[in-house]
Amino acid sequence: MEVQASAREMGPPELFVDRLSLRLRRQAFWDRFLVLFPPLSVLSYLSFYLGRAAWFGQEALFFSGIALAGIALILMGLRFFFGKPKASLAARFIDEKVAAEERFLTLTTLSPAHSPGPLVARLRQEAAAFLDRIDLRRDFPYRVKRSFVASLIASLAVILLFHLILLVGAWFAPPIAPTKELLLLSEKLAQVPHLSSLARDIQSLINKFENEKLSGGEKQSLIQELQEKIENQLKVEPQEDQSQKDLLNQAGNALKNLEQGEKQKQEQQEGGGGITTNLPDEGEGQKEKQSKGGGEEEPRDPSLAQSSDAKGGQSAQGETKEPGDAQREGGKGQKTDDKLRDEKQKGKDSDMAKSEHEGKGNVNEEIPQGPPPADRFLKPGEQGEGGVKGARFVTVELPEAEAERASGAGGSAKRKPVQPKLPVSNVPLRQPDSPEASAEKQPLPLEYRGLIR
Amino acid sequence: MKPEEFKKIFFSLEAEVKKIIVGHEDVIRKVVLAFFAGGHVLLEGVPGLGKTLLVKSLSRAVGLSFKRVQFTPDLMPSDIVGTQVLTESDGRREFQFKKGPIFAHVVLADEINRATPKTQSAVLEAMEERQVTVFGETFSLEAPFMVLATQNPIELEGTYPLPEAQLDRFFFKLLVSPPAPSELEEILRRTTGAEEHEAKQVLRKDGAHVIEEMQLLLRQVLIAPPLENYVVRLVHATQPMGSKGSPIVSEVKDFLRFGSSPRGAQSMILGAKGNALVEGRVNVSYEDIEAMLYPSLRHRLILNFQAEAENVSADQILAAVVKKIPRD
Repeated sequence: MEVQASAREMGPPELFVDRLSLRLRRQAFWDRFLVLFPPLSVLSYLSFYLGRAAWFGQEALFFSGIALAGIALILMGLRFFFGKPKASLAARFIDEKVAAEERFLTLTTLSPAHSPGPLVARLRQEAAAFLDRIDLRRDFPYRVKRSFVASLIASLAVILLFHLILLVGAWFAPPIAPTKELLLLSEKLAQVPHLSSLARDIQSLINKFENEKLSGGEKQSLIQELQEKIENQLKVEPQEDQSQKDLLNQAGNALKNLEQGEKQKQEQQEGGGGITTNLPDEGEGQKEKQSKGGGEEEPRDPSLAQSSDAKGGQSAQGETKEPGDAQREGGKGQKTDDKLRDEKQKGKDSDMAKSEHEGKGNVNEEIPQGPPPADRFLKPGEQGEGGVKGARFVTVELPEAEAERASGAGGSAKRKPVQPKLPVSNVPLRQPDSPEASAEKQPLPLEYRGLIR
Repeated sequence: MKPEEFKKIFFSLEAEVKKIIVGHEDVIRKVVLAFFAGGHVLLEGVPGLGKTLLVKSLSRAVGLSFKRVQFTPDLMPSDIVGTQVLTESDGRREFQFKKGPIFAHVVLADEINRATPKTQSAVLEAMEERQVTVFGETFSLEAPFMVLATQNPIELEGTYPLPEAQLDRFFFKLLVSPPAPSELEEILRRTTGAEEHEAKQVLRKDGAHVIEEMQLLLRQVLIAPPLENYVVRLVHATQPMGSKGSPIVSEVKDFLRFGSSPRGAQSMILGAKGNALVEGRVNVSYEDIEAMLYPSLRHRLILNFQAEAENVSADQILAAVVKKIPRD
């Protein structure tokens, strides 16, 4: 009687199975939601981040957000309506829970019309007797699935990886030239009405730097003048407008960088080396030129000087490229920072490879092609300096420290008797009988090395 | 008939048989199950394990007619199904059909593999159609009808192994194993003492009708479609060529020539239904099906040469099948 009473309270077993089925559907919905939520949040975060960093436009961001949300809703909806747990599954869960030996499964899946009524009634009665042993909340609680944890961990890993990539990318990315940075900032400032005059000032400063030949002092004064303007503007900016303050601060920092760069250039010019060449410079004929370009362009990088030297050396041995081209191009001077950086990078790469190649004394040196070496030397009676026809020589004037080391002078040279000397010039040495002849041995031209081997 | 009545009669029968047979509870249960499911049983075991005694005890307990045929190589079909004999009455001579031992409710075909295939096949029609045809005349066998055959697995000389078609007609194949020491002690006590043990008749009046009702109730037991599907998947999985929708079990592929016929699935379900009733349920469970897997299918799997060479039995293959086929 008690069993019948409890069964009446809980309804027929089939209804109970339906209730469990609905509960399982809800749980499946939450499972799906929890699995999808972390990656969707990550996508939203990344979209917002990239949108804020102006990688995406506002409209693209908005529509992609709507599309993402739509896809997520459709997925969850599909899961809820079509991928719903079947009643038979719910019945099996109950059977397993109360050891009902497939009574609920049979009752749920059997067609009563094709089954003997007394047996079905008896089965329903037997199943109802098990109902008071089940409490849906107690026996089928919602538990967070492992898939959610996995999804959460994966999503966090994606965010971490994204920021790591940004960080590493920032380390390896070439620094933006201060003038370019200023140009970008001026464009942003120009969008703010009361800062547009400041933006114009910045643009004019950049134009002056690029188009006019200004002395170091003039440049410094221009920069300082603009810095003062920015500081004044910062003082009058309202406290709550943080984004504009940020912009102004960025502009100030970029100006500081520009100022520092200019100072360093000046210092290099004063104490740094240069390249002396006998090449004609822009139609001025042969004269020695103290190339300012080398010092200005890359005063901190001696490899550039070396590379120029190497290029000059190769050309003297019959290469098609004119020696000192890079220097002459550099000598023309007034080029944008990007161009200079590109050239610098290319030169660095190729020259480093070459210097490495030569430094190791590799026997597989390439033999220069061209006319036979004998034809290229001056014959008796012919006029000319150096002994080689049409030779163009480059003498590299190294910075003091390097020069001392190259010449073997100084205390350190005494302590280290055998020091490889850096080539300072490819000018042929004087004849041994000449009074001006150097005690040094003339290096063997590359052309002969092949013959000797 | 109510399920409780079924259970009561079943246990009474079982108890009466157990009075005579020591041990072999599982064999006894399945023999009685097969009887109520309307199937025939092949008992396989070495001589002296009580196979014949079991069948005799059962037939006595159910109170139905019982005949025993000892199969020998010179046994003729007419010795089983009967023949026309010339009789004389009132001065007139006429042929009259003399019924053979097959015309009984329970028939014991002892050492069935000793008879020639011709004689064995005479039992085929009776087992499947529940009728015999002699000189063009068909005679129906009285229900309930059950053939219990025994065979000795160790003697191969002068035997004729049952053909696959005939094996398939047996509902169950049960393996009778030697008794445990404790069971042997009990056997000795019962058979060497002065006291005689005899099975009592459980069904007194109208026993055949009661058995028919019980057989009907057994067939009415409820089985859920997912469980029927499980049986189908199990039987399909025994096909070495594989079939659509059933996974291929490697043991089946390696050791079987042919898998189970649909009769195997029928046996499993009917046996499972009977088991459910015995367990006091009106619905079949997964356990019922798995309990019936081995007796229903072991004689329906045709092993290949490799299986025989490696001494792999059908039961081992079935164990692999049930392990690999999920319940849902």
